[in-house]
Amino acid sequence: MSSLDDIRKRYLNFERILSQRPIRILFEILVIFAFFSFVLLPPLNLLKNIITDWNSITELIFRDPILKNTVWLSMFRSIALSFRIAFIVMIIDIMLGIPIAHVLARYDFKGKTIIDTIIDLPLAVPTSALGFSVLLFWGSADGLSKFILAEEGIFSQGPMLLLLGHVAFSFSYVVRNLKGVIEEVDVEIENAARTLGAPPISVFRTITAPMAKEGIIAGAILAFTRSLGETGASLLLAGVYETAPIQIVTFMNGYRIPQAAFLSVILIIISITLLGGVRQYARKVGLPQPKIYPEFERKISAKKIAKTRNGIVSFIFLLLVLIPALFVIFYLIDVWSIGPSGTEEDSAFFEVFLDSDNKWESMQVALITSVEVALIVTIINLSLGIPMAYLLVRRPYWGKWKVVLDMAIDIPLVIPSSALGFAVYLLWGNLGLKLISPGIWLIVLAHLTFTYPFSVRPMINYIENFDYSYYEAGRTLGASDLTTFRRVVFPMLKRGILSSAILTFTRSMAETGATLIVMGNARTVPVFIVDLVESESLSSAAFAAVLLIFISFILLLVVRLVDNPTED
Amino acid sequence: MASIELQNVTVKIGNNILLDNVSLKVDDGAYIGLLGPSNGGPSFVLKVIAGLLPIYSGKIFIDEVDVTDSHPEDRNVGFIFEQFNLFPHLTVLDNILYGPRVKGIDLTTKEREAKEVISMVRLENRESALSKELSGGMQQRTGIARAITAGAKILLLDQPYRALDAKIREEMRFEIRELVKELGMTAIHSTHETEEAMLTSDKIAVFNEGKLLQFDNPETVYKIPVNAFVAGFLAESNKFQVKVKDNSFIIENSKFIVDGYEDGEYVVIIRQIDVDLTSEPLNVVNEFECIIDKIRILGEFIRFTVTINNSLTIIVRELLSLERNNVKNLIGKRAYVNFRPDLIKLFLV
Amino acid sequence: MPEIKFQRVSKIYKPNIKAVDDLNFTIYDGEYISLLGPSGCGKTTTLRLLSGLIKPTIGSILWDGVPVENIDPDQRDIGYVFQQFAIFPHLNVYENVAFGPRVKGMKQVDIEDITEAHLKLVGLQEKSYYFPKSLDAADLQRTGIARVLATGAKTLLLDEPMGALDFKIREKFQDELLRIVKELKLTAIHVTHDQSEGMAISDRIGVMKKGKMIQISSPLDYLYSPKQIFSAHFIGESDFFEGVVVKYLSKTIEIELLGDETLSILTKTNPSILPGDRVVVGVRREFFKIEPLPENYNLEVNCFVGKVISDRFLGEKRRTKVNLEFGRTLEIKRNSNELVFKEGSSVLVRIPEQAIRVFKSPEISLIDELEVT
Repeated sequence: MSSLDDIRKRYLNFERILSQRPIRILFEILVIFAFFSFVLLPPLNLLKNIITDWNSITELIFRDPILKNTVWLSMFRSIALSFRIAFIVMIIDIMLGIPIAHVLARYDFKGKTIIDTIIDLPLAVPTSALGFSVLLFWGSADGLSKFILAEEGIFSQGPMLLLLGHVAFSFSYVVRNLKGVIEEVDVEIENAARTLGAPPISVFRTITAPMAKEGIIAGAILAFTRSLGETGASLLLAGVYETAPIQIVTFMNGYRIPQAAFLSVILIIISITLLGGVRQYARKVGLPQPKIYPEFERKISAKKIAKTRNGIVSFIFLLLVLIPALFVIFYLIDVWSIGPSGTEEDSAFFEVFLDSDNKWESMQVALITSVEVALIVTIINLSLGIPMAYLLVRRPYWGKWKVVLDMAIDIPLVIPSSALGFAVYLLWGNLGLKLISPGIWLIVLAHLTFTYPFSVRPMINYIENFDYSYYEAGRTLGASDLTTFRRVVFPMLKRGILSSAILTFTRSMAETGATLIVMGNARTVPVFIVDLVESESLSSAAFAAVLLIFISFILLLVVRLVDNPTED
Repeated sequence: MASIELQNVTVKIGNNILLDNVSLKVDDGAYIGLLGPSNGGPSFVLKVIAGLLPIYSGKIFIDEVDVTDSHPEDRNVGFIFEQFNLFPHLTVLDNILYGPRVKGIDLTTKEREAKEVISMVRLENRESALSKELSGGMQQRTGIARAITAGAKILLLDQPYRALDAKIREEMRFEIRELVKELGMTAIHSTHETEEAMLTSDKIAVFNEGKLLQFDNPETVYKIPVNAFVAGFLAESNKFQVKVKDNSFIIENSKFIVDGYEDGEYVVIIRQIDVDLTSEPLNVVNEFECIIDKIRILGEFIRFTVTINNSLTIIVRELLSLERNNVKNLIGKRAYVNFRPDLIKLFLV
Repeated sequence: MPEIKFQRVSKIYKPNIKAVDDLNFTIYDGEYISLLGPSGCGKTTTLRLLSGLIKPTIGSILWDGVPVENIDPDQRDIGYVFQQFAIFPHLNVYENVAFGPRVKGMKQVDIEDITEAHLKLVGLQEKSYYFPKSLDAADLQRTGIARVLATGAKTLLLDEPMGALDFKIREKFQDELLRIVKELKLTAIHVTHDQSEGMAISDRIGVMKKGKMIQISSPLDYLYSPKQIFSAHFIGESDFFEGVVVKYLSKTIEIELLGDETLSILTKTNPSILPGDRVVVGVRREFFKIEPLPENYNLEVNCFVGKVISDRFLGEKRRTKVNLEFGRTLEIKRNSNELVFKEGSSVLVRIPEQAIRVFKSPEISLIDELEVT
């Protein structure tokens, strides 16, 4: 008994010693150093390589003796395509996303939770599975064509399919984000506007939207960057066209390192400039007060019209996002025992379990790799991310550094993951430090970079919303800094940490672009799906896609349970 | 003209009854106070009138027009919120001009009117400030100016001073009442503080648990409350349960005389302010010798806790006076309390 | 046995914002002190300086003569009670109260004893296994108080502890709190914006404005002999008249009121007031006497003639507004059973000699001096 008391006392003393300012700062420096070397160093190193090898690289790209500048021209084409698609995707996402998000944030109706969950469903679908599903729905004779009795897919692989695919996978992210943004605007302020004579549409335009300005812009940036950086789905949908991230993969496959490096750097620079510029602009520039058309706005605020409007938006959502995203499930059911050719030979069951090439076995291996990577990445990122988030919100002495760090955290978000993967390969792989060769550990390193913002950003949010007086209560009750963190802050943030962990985990599970570059002989499930589609084993691809959807969906359910505790 | 009528209004959220069959008629130009505990009803009445809370049954009329189904933006009422709810991205002037703007009224003519309203609420020099740069009092005055400029003939004030410091509350209460009267508006004001309601209102409606208990002028509600809740809510009171026999009752061995009550069980409410504390006996009815146990200075009031016959504790409240400048010396001293029979309020259990 | 002394303490936030400005005062052992003032006056900053959650920019705080600037909050032996309670939501009432003893590394048996004793002190034995979400505001704050006392703190820092409680329960809660503080011989520093709460509960009150301590003295002093115009205004309600000292005799001075040269106020001399000084006369609204104007009224000392504008019955008291002949409006608070005046009736307002407080004119205008935004 007394020895237990003694141990406890010693432990508290130990925490007190660790809470001393110099030790704390030392630890924080370590955390920042880890962030720097795992997340920031790869792209910086890439940049350095480009600068040192500038002459030989430009030689290759602009003044090749045989190809002249055709490499540059094709790069330019792919970049232009990527940006065009990203821009249109952003517009569609925002236009459709705002009404849906507004209804979900503001109205209570029967079945709201169900719709809420449905909107989130595509989040659970990894992009390569989703790309495959979209391809089946829009681009094959077994998809929508079947219902309208056309003989071929409605769209062939190319920009239109890319566009549809990108809308399908980015939409849920955007709606989720916008919903949160709108919820943060106090309903009572909207009520004030109503009592002053403004119909709902005017209220949204003059009050809600301006107040949520920064959030809406952040949502737009999210849509844009998610589309710009996507690789997995694009690989399946692009056909002969190349988006910039795909081109990086192509360069890598052809071992054309300098070209890949150059394209990556261009993408990184454009993305960061764009992001920084828009953010600065959004913060500084006040929008002029919108003009109001009272008669017209009153009319379209009428209940009937509002209902029709919501109906149309919901229909478009079903057609563009939900059905395409989940179509692969119906397809799998269709081809489960009898394949597309009408024989058992290419049915899903036969291909996966009975065929000679043992797809089920390699699928299992890929699945294990995927889970291993995701687990390791999640653990490392949380142990780096929680202290980082805490430092950014709660350590005033970091002063200006905090602003820099705060911006730096988002950098991986805007860099296409294939470019990031390439940067990781170049730094740690056999062309750089030669520490790690392609394979599972390089995949881990690559995934660490792009999941980092996904684990830190929500944590920052949770910590900002954490009522600091609980910490102060702990301190004034006699607990040291570290003891207070362990006994008060950590348990109260548990929920946030768990949902942040699951988000990181699913992001890692679903990633294709970066993995393709650094995987060596290892395979994760999303990559495996791409392989299967490319080798025309559509039934097995469907099986793998549904498997991945199933796993991610379960995780998503857990997130929802954690996020919305039943009030009791 | 701006009269308001609620006919048998009931509001439910799930099985929770927020308003229970409330009927209330407010005349044009009246200033009405709704008094009750925070969730007892007053705020819900205001929300219902503004159309911000859907009703379960009943009807609402503004100027004798049925508005039960019309939207908040069509009711032309000004709502003043406890938390002010200014639009944070707009300046004071733009907040005030918001109403005309969304109604499509030409702003050039309105701007002069807005300036007048701004000077009425004493916000000159503050026109281009954002709400975060204003103190609570200024924010609330902006809120009021905003409602006036939107053309509201009815002002619904929902605990408007609750979020303000005591001192500012004191200043604003009367100022706003006078402004409302000057502009000929109809006002309904919810609060849980008796003094605020009494000071501002022509008539007071007392609520509890969603029910309207009494609606009358302040003096009547205070002096002739309909039940023990109203009697106790309007002023700090001593409360007992007694058996009346032959116009008298006994609490802890002390016998009190009352007049005109039949025998039976009653709740007794004796307001603290109605108990008279003297250092010498006055030889009146219901006078007792007592010991002063505790003295609390409450600012404008002094509160004494006294014990009669070593057993009955009574709280006495007294308006501050010059004579009490050494009041602390009275602790532990002997004194006398008397209770005027007509100020002892009895309600059948 | 702490005696806490503020020595030239300032807290400056960039750029040049003085949250508190040159504080010099002492809190004695066993004292109950309230800090009052308009929002932004620095009262909460003062409390946080005491807790160690923030540190002074200049000056030092001495705890029994020892400077405590470099002592962290967890080592100060203070108990901080929050307006919004800050009861740990993931722990039940018992564990909340046991938190302090636990993190101080006490023995398990001691923790149990101390926790039980403090739950009993605030009357929460029955609810010790409740979680915070099922407690009402008053019980949450009782938990908050038990929790800080269980650490053995001898100094209580209370930040608007009743701000979130329902109006009707506050007086009862004040009694409970005061009983505990006096029973355990604690020193308490209590921040509030509610003057009557400060009055009811404190031995002394400090009134602050714009980071400065205006006055610190007992509640009765504020009511009967305030030392500053602002504190006379902020604690309770007063009416103020501006004037000039025109006659200065051995025992009395005569003050001529601005606005009307024929009106004057006669009062006792005051060592700090000199002939020719511009002064402000303050009279508490409860202290005016008012009577119907006698038919053939002859001018009397310190009396004014006026007309009643309104006489409102407020239940526990009455507020009478009178327009004085020389253009000033007065508000008078009276017992509700006193004579009722009709609107427009002529009255005589009498200012009793003991009610008159004379202050030197402030350097800024009177309106600015009295401003509370």
